Amino acid sequence: MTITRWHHTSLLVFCMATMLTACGGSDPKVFNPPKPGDALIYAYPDNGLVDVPLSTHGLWVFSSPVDKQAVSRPCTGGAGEKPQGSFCVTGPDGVVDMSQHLSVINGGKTIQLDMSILKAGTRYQVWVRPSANPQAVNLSGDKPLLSFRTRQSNPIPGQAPYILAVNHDSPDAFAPDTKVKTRFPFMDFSPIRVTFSEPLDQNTMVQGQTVTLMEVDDSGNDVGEVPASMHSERHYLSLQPKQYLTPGHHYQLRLSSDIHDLDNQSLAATTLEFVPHPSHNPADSDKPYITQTLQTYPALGDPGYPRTSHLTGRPLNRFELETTALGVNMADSLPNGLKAYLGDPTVYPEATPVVAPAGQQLSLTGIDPVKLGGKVHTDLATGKITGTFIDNVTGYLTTNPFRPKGFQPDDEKAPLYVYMDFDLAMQTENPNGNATLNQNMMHVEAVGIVTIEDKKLTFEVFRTLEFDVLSGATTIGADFSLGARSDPDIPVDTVNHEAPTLTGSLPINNAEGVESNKNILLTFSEPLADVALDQFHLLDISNGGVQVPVKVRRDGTTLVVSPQQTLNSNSEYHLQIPDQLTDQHLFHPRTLAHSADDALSGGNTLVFTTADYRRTASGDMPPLVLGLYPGIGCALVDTDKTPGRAGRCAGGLSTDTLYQDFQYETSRGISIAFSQPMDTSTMRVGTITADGSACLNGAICVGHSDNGSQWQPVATSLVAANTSATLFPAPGDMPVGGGYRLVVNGDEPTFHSTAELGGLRINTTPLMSLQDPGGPNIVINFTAVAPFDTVASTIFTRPLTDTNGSGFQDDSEQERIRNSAAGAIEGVGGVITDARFADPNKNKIFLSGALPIAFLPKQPLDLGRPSLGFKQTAPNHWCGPQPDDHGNTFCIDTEGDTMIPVEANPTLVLGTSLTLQATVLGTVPLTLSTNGLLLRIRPRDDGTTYGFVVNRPGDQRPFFIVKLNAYLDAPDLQVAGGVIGHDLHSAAATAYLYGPISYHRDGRIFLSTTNLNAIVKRINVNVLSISGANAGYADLLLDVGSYNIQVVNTPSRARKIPQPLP
Amino acid sequence: MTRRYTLTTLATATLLACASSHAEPPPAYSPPDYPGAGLVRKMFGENKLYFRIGALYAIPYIKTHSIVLKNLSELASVAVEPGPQEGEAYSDPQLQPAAIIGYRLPWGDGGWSVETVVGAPPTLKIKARGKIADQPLVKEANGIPTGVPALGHNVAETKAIPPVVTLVKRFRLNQRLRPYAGLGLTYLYTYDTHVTNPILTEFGEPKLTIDNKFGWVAQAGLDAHVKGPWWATLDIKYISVPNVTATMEKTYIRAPGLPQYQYAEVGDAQFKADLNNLAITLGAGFTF
Repeated sequence: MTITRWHHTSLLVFCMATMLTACGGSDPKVFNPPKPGDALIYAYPDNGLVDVPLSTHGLWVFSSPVDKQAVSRPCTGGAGEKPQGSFCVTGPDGVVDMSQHLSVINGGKTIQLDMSILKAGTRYQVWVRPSANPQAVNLSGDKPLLSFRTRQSNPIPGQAPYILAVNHDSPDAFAPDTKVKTRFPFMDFSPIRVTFSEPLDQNTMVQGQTVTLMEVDDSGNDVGEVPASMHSERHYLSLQPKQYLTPGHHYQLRLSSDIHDLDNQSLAATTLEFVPHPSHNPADSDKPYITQTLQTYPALGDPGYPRTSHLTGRPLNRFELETTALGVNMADSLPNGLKAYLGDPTVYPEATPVVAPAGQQLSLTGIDPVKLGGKVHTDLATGKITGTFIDNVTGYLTTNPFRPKGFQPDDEKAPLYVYMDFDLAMQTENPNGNATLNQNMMHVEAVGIVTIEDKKLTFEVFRTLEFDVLSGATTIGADFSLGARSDPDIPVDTVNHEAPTLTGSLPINNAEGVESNKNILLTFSEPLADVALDQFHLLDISNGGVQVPVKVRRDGTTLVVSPQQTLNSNSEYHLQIPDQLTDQHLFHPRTLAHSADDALSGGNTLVFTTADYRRTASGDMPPLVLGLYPGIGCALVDTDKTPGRAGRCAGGLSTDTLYQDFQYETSRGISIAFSQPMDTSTMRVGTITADGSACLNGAICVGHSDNGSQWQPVATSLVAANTSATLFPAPGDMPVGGGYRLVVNGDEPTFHSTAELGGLRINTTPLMSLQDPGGPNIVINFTAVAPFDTVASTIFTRPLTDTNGSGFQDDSEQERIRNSAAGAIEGVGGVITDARFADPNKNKIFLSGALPIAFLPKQPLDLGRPSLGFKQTAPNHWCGPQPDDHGNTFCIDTEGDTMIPVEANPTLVLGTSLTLQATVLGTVPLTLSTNGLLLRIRPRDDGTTYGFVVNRPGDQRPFFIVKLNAYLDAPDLQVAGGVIGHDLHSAAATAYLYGPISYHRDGRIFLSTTNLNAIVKRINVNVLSISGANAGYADLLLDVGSYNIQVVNTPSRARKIPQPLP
Repeated sequence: MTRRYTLTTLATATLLACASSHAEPPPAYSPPDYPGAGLVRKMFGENKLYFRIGALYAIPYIKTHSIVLKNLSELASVAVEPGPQEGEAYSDPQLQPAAIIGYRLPWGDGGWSVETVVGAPPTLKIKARGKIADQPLVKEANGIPTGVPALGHNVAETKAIPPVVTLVKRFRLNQRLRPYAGLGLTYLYTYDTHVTNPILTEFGEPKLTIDNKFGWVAQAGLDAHVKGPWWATLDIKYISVPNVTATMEKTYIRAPGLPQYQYAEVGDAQFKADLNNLAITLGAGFTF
């Protein structure tokens, strides 16, 4: 009974509990977020981007592996058609063949496209179909995923410039009273970045005149010009207001029609209107709403460095600069902290603005030393590479653009997105390296994803940056996967550790013979602020100190000082550099410091003297075409004599080696270089005649013919410089394989020298006489070929003696031994019983030349190649194929196993006259002047002439060795009034030139060579010019080390188009 | 606390007053003659089962050991460090009907019995106070104001069945006032547990689980004979369930300061506390 009662009691309690439990509520309604599904999560280039360099690697990143086979399958489709295929790029000509340029990386999740196959200045569409990645939920087959436009670096002929983008947005969104909305809000801190369709004539970009940022009131009346720091170069304009703009106020950027492109075509006058949004909250607060530090992470030295990029699968913050010219170079990001501010995300929920104020820096380890082809070392080093943000870095944080609006971010499948826009001045620690590398990277849009890692907001942005290196001779496309984390607690180094210094100038201090129609380049150790740039004074000291107006613009760490008029010749100028110049440091700007080892030896005045063009030793002499690419600067004959050969210069001997058919690398400009300063107003492009024989309405023209008889014009832009001009065809107008013709008129209209030099027409038949202007037209047939070089440039002999190109050393012209050949009379014979130089101190031929060269990819070291023919007599010991004219063997030593071939194109070299005194038959004195001499670098019989860059033991510098076959001509040499003839016509000589390549603080690269072999050239004289009836001779010796050629590149300011001068 | 003592004192005084109004000793056993009473006697025996029905005033006292955030989502980890948080939980006192049911054990002098409390399961409103309630838990994420407001006091509700079984010894069995004391066990059984905080429930109710756990009970009381079979009782129990763990998972909140995120997963919050309760019952009843 007792047990029974206990049982009952327990049962009662249990039943109550059960009953009550049953009465309870159901399970909580737990929120289960929707699964995002796999997707395309990232794309670069960004949709609508208008300035994509061709060195770009396009990336399309998915959250799951793509179908590699489907993606790699070629697409089909013509122009204007929807392409068929899984992953396609289409352009104006239809589908782009990507077969050799597409790869799948990053564990199969990223499609990578090498965009070097695309054309400049062209809009493309990218199509990504569901079959590319069947798991992806956000692909559509109906329309392109995105479109972009490639960069147009060269001028476009026959087209007025126009605005492509404003702050990477449509210009229509900034038109006054527009209904078009901007993609991102224009903020009170935003710079204005205007991207044009082609490079502009920077002389027409004048702040306050042609470029005006004006505040206007509600009625549209001007309130006042807004002080702003302006950076204008190439096809970029950036204006950074010096103070935050006032939110809600109206600002107008007015661009006048006085702005021209390099073809002198006007920009349509344009007004862009900006109404900034507040970044502070409340708007009248002085304090930023959110303060952050953006720190590159992990950087060199941080644990876990380098981390793997989500986008590429390659190391993050380790940048691979790979180019055939320089091989593979690695640069590691150093820890950097950028102070940044965010707008209120609740005010800007769709695109939260971010700003990192200008004047802050990112640093990388350097390239020490720079190696050609990655193997041949140079004495060039960069030291730490630093990028200074010269305008505010603006960014916007958004949800993933490939997902529906408002889609919940997911680090793996729908990461947040960030758009970062910046203008960056690159500099290096080493002054020599800085001189060749410093440059501005303008209007960079880096797109990235934002995830949360290690409890921090982590940014990973990708962008291919195209660096100009070797003073603009070539470019490197570097993929930057930059990782950074955001943290308000990371301290920022606000100390300005070094004041700016002037590290180099061109011209150098106390230079003489400076061209009177050139810009002045001042290279500093770091970028400068927009302070005191109007305080430069250029004084014409020889003219009573008259001030010459100048414009100063910033270009990397270089200031480009542009005199607004051609300088007087033979005048001393002083450029006074203001001490108030400051660097761009955000927190503590410092003023210019002087030291004994700076470019002015501690001073603040650059002194130079312009060239004296007066001719005292001769009359007027017409200009010659020294360098022509493609082609040779003379009218040709025997053009149809031998297949595969283009002919020979008129006036030469019929036995002259014929030039090989000319080729034109489509990556290069068509260049022409003259022996004298030219009247740039005569440098005009004409239109080829139908028969292809001449140019109408211009001195130079290009044509195309399918059948070789009827010629159609190829439009080109012409960019003029003092002694040269460069032509740029329109993008895609000269496809590879096509037959083309370059014509340079000998008669009007043609190129003329400056008025100071007589305003003479060019001489197209210099072998007949150097003194006769005009002549038949230079007609060069050529074939367009795909780019094969790694570095291409026309290099000039510098310094020059014969600055006026007369073929004589005039009184004011100074001896420049580095470009001379010092002769000696080694022997005489026949009727000539004695011969010597009239003035023993004037035994030199001074040389003026322009040599189009191209560096090619590295090769295994072998100086026995036919172009040089050396023999290896011991390991790394190479000797000439035969003894020199004195019977001596000449040799060089090498180091390493690699050489860089350099293609030396045919060219003309002008030499100054020699005056000899001879004695005939022991009694008759004879004074003779060679007059101007012409040295023709001639082709080899069996192919192109190549030199080689090698290393030698114990020397960090690279050395250049080349065998130059030349013809020496003295077209105007007359002996005894023509009674006595001579054989200085197409007199063949061979020089083995050897010497170092060095890099200078003014940005120039010097190739300084001298002859290894003694050259003895017998000059025969005959009676009545009867060939073979030699009556006597004199042996002219160019002894070892007496024949020097030093060629120098023109610092192009980082491959900028040389600007036409006012 | 003052209120608790005041109530107890008042109840005791009432009982003493009841008892003092009847000077003579109570009858040894006066079986009630109510419908059904006989059946009960038949089931449990005579003078065995008794009850006191009345009001129970429960005064929870939650001794918070820790409130720990863990397993934070990546996003939450940007805003808040995992680990202990400042604050404590509490619950308001509540008054509800309840009955004490006892069974007199056939031991000794008849003063031993086992008792339990029967009543509607109490709804325990779990509240928070201190920093965790008054200040936003995630004020900033990487320096970015999240816009997440303070949680406030209301956190969750749960229904609890804490079956209490005590062994009770009564004294002075011949007197009208019979004090007693007891010790026993309880078992915390919760159900219908759900988060009630509007911030935490904007997207859905987080999953909240509370450990079911044994505890102990100390009891003291005073029976006062009223009339016939009727007795009045003041019963005070101290019920303690130590180290109870409550875990909240799958919590999603809105962070207005991070508008790109529609919602933000938080992670797990684990709460550890001693759930103590002072249960004061004033009731009346009789023994069958």
